[in-house]
Amino acid sequence: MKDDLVLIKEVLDGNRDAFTLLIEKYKDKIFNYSYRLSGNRNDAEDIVQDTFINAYSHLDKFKIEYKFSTWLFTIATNITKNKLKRKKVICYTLDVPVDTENDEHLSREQVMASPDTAESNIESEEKSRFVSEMLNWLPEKYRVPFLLKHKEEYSYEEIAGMIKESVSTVKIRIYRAREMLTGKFKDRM
Amino acid sequence: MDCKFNNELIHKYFDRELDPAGIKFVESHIAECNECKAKLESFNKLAGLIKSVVSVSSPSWLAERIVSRLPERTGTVFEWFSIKRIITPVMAVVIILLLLLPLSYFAITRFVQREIAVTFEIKLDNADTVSLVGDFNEWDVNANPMVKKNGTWVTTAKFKKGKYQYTVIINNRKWYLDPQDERNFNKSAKIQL
Repeated sequence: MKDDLVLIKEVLDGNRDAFTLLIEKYKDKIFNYSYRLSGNRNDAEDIVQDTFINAYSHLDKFKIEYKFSTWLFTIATNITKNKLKRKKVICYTLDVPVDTENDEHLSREQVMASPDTAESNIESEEKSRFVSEMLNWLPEKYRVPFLLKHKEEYSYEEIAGMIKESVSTVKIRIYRAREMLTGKFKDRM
Repeated sequence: MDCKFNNELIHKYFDRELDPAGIKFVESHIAECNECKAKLESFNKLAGLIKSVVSVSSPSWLAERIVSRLPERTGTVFEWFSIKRIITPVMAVVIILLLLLPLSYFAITRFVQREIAVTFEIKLDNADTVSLVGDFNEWDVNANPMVKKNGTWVTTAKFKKGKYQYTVIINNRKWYLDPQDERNFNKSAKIQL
């Protein structure tokens, strides 16, 4: 697997196929993140597309001291935030009927790939649904840094750079997210 | 809900950001406080849940759709503003200037420091070889040998205007002007020594 910087240089030299390799490498990560952040598969698809098109268009501005994946996450975060601002935010509670279009169903590939029994597949699906419920409930301001920390495992300093906030602000928001989520959902965890 | 312990420390402990003293401080509190112990346990559960939740795959057609919508990188817009289009004409201009520079320098120096032709004459008897030497020919006896014409030795030297010392060497040994003369030559002339 070629190094990201090597691929980027190839793209800048005019090799479009090299960018296809970058898409294949990172699309699932960005999709997952966008999906958990936006709470919606369709939105996640658009966000992933817009992220890569944006990255491709501005590839000459990419600074080599950064990691390419971090840059992609930053772009995806900004696109998602803008998208969420434009949409009406729906607080996801148990009283609201589950939106069947917003499918939590695992794809067929995921079900087939799971080595365990049908029971654990159902469990995975339920867990996934529960996580989505929690994250959709959490305000976006806390959701972004919380996901970057707990799902993507970025450091406080990296997150601060990505969302253009101070490290102390990032910490406070993540602490708050933890308090809010455990306060509301601990009995179901 | 009533514990007044510094909440931030619990989070820092959870993030493994505390030094050994801090760790000991928090752990000794947790040993005695069920509320904080429960809080820490739920943080662990939450983190575990988020970390282990199954990853959702992107649709199989997504990559192809993205590629089909990528803009043209090497289109006319990019090429027009490419650095090469700026550098090439600039380099051409620089090269032309560099070529013209020595020519113009040469022309300027010729104009400003025009060369003059000075004819030196000397009447000498009993001389076999006579040579004009000076600052203008590096005191080289072979540079301006004089020629005898009707008893007069003569040569014409060409050099830039200026002040020069000079003399005439007779038979490669004797200096006619000893010590050498110095004169300001500012135009072509005939000098009789």
